Amino acid sequence: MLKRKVQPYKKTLDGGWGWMVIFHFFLVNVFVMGMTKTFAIFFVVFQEEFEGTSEQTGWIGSIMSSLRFFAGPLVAVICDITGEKTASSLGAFLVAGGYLISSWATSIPFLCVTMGFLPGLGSAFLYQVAAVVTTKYFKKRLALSTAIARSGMGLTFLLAPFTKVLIDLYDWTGALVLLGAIILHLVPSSMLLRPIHIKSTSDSDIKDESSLSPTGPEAACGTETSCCNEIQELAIGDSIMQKEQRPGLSLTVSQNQSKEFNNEYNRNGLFRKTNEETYWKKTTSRSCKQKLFDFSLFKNPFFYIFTWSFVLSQLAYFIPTFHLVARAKTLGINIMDASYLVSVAGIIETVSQIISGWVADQNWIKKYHYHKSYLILCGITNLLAPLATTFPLLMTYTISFAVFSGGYLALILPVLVDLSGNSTVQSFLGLASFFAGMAVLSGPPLAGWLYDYTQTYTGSYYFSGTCYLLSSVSLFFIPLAERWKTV
Amino acid sequence: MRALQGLRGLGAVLPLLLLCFLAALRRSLEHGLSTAAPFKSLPVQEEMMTKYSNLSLESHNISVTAAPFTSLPVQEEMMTKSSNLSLESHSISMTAAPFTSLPVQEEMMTKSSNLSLESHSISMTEHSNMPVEKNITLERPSNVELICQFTPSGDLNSVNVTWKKGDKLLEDNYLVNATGGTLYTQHRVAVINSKQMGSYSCFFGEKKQQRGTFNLKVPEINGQNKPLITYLGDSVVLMCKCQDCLPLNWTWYGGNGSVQVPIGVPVNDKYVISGKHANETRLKITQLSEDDQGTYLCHAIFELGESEGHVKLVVLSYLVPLKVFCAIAAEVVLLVAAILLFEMYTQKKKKPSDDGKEFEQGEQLKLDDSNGIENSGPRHRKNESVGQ
Repeated sequence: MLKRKVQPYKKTLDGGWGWMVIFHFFLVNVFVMGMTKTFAIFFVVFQEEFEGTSEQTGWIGSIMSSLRFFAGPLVAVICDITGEKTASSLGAFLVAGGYLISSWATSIPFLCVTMGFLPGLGSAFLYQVAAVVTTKYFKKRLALSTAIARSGMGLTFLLAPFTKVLIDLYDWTGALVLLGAIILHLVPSSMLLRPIHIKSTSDSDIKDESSLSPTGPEAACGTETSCCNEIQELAIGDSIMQKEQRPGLSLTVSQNQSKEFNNEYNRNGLFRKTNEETYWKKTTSRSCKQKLFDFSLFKNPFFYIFTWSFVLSQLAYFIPTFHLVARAKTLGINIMDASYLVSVAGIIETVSQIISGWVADQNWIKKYHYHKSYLILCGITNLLAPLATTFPLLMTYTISFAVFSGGYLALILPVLVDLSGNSTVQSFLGLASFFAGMAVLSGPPLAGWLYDYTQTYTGSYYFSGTCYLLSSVSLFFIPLAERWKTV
Repeated sequence: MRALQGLRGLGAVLPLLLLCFLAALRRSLEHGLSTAAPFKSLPVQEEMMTKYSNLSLESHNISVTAAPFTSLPVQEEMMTKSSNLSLESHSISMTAAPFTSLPVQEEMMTKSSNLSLESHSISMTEHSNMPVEKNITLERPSNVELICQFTPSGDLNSVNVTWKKGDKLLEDNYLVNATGGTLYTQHRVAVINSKQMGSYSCFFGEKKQQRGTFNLKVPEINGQNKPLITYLGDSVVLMCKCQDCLPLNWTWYGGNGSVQVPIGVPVNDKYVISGKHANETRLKITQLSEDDQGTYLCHAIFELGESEGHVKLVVLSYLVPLKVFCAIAAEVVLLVAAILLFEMYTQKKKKPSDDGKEFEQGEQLKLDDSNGIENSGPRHRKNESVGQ
C-alpha cells in the first residue's frame, strides 16, 4: 500500500488532534453566527447612513445568511480541487475581505455584494469544510463533539455589545475594518484542519480530500459516487500500472457508468507515468468532480429523506426565535424580561445540545430515532405555543422549545453521516444545504407576511409547529428506504 | 389695568372722569382692599369703551355689592378685544363671609381668535414632604390656568394662600375657593412672550408651607447624546430635532471652548443648513478637518423664548483604526507562522522514520509493477474480498 506523508489511522480518531478540529469548528460557529447577529446592529447603522428602506437593507442580511447554504455544492467542488485547509482559509479571506471592502461602501447595492455576497460565500466555505472534517475525525463521539462545537453559538451574545463598542469608538467604517481583522483569525485556525486518512476496516486507504465511508459499506460502485472511492482505492492501492484491473471493475459496476470509467481510465493512463501523489489526487478528484455535477445523489432516497427534513426544520426553526421578543411585547411583557427569555433560551439550547449529543453517542438506539422524536416534540411545543399568554407560561414554552431544538440541532450532522452512506459527506451536505438555502431565504419574508396577514403571532407558531411535524414524517421512511436499497 | 394705562382717550370728557373714578376704585380693589361698609351696599357700575391700535377695551363693568355681615360680591365685567390678545369678558365676584375669611371667586370668560387655554393642576396634602413640581411646555402664546388643590388636615379657612413667580410675590389675578374640605386656588397667566415664562409657585399656609411649582418652559431640543465619530476629509450631517414642536427659526453655533461663532452666516460650501421638516434642522459639514472638532449648538427660536441642543463631533484620522488593524493582522501572521513552524517541526521528526518506509513503498511499487499483469485476477478477487 502506498503511504502518504501523514500517518494513516486504523480507525477514526475520536479525540487527539480531533479536538483541535473541534476548536476550529467552535470558532467558526462563533464568528459565522456572530456575523448574522451583529448584522442587526449594522442594519440600523446602514439604514441611517445610506437612507435606504428597511426592506432594501434587509436584503444584505438575507443574502448573507442564505448564501451560506446556497453555496454548498460549490464548496464541495472547490474542496475537492484544493483541499480542506485551503478551502477554509479561502473562506476566511473571503469573509475578512468582504468586511474590509464594505468599509468603503457608498450605497446599499454595494453593501449587498461586499457585505452580503462575499461574507456569505466565505461562511459557507468555513462552515461546511469544518463540518466535514469533523465527521472525518469523529465517529463514535460525533454527536457530542458537534454539540460542543456548536456551543460556540452561545458565545455570540458577547459579539453584539463588542460591536456596539467598536462602532462608538471608530464609527461603522472602523468597526468593519476591525471586525474583518478579527475574523482573519480563522485563517490560522483553519490551518489546524490537518488532512487525515482513515483506513477503514473493509476498504483500503481512502483519499481524504474527496471521499469518506466511515460505515464501510461494500466497495461496490453500483449506485453512488463512491465510484470515486473505488477508483482511488485501486489507483492508490495498486500503485500505478494496474489499468487492466479497471475493466475487471466493470463487473461490479452498472452499465451506464462504464463509459465514465473508460474516460477515467484514459486520463489515469495519461498520468500514470508520474508518481506524484498530487497528480493522482487531481485526476481522481477531477473525475470525482464530474460525479458531483452528475446529480447521482438524486437517485439516493436517503438524500430526499434528509433534505426534506433539513429544509423544513430550518424553515421552522428560526420563526419562533425571530418572533419571540415581538410576541412578548404584544403580551405586555417588558423588554428586560423579553431579553431575559432570549438569553435563557440560548443557554438551555447549548446545554441541551451537549446532553443530546452525549445520549446519541451512547448508541442505545439509532440516532435518527432521537432526531425524529425531537422534531415531533418541537412541533407539538410550537402548536401549543399560542396558549402561552403570561410570562411564566411563555418561559415554560421557551425552555421546552430550547431543550427540544437543542436536541435535534446537535443530531443534524450525525444523522447526515449515517444517512449519507456511500456518498461523500461533502457533496451530500452541499446539496442538502442548497435546498435549505431556499428555506432560509424565504423564511423571514414568509414570517413577516404571516404576521401581516393574521395580525397575531399565533399564526407563525402554528406554521412552525406544522413544519416541524412534517419534517419528522420523512424520517419514518428510513427503514423503507433501507429495504429498497438492499433490494 | 394695563388697558387703562395704555389708554388714549378718544371719548368724551365725562367718560374720562368716570374712568378716573373707577380707576381709583379698581386699584383699591386690586390691592386687596374691598370697600364694603356693613349694612350698606355699594353698587358701582362702570362702562367704558376705548379703542386702541393694539388693544381695544370694549366694555367694562364693575359692580361691587356688599351685603351686611355676609358677603361682598364684587362683579366686574370687562370686554377687551385686540388683534393679539382678546379677552372677551371678565367678571370677578368676591363673596366674603363676615369676620372670617374672604373667599374670592372669579369667573372669567375668554374668547380668543388665536389663543388657547391650557389648564394644569397640582394637588397636595398637608403631609406631602416633597415639593410638588409640574413642568409645562409651551410653544405658542396662550392662556395658562394654574390650579393648586390643597387638602388641609385642620381648618380650611385658616390657611393662607399665596402665589409667587420666581421670588416675586404675585398680588393679583388669582382666586381661592373652598369646597368640600379642599382648597382650590387658581392663577391665570396670559403668556405672550418670554417674560411670562418661568416658575410659578403656590403656597399654602404660614408656618409649615406647602408648595407647588409650575415650570413654564419652551420645548426641549434633542441633539445627539453620543459623540459623532467621523474621519478626516469626510462629510457629516449634524441633526437637531424637536419632538412635537415647530420652532420659528433655527440657528447653528460652533464653539471651541466658550467662543460661539454662528455658522452659515457667510454662506459657503463647507456648511449647508437644511431641514426636511420644520421640526428638525440639519447641518452638513464637508471637508472635515481637525479644527472642526468640538460641540455644536443648535438654537431653536420660539415666540416664547429660545432652546438649544448639543451635538458633539469627533474627527479621527484614518490611521487610528488602521493601526489597530495592522496590530491584529500582525498577530494573525504570527499565529500562522507559528503553526507552520510547528507542522514543519513535527514533519521533520517523522521524516527519518518515513524515509525507510518510503523506500519500502518504492520497492513495493516495483514489485506491483512487475506482477501487475499476472496478478490481475487474484488481485481483483483480493480487492473484492477486501471490499466486502
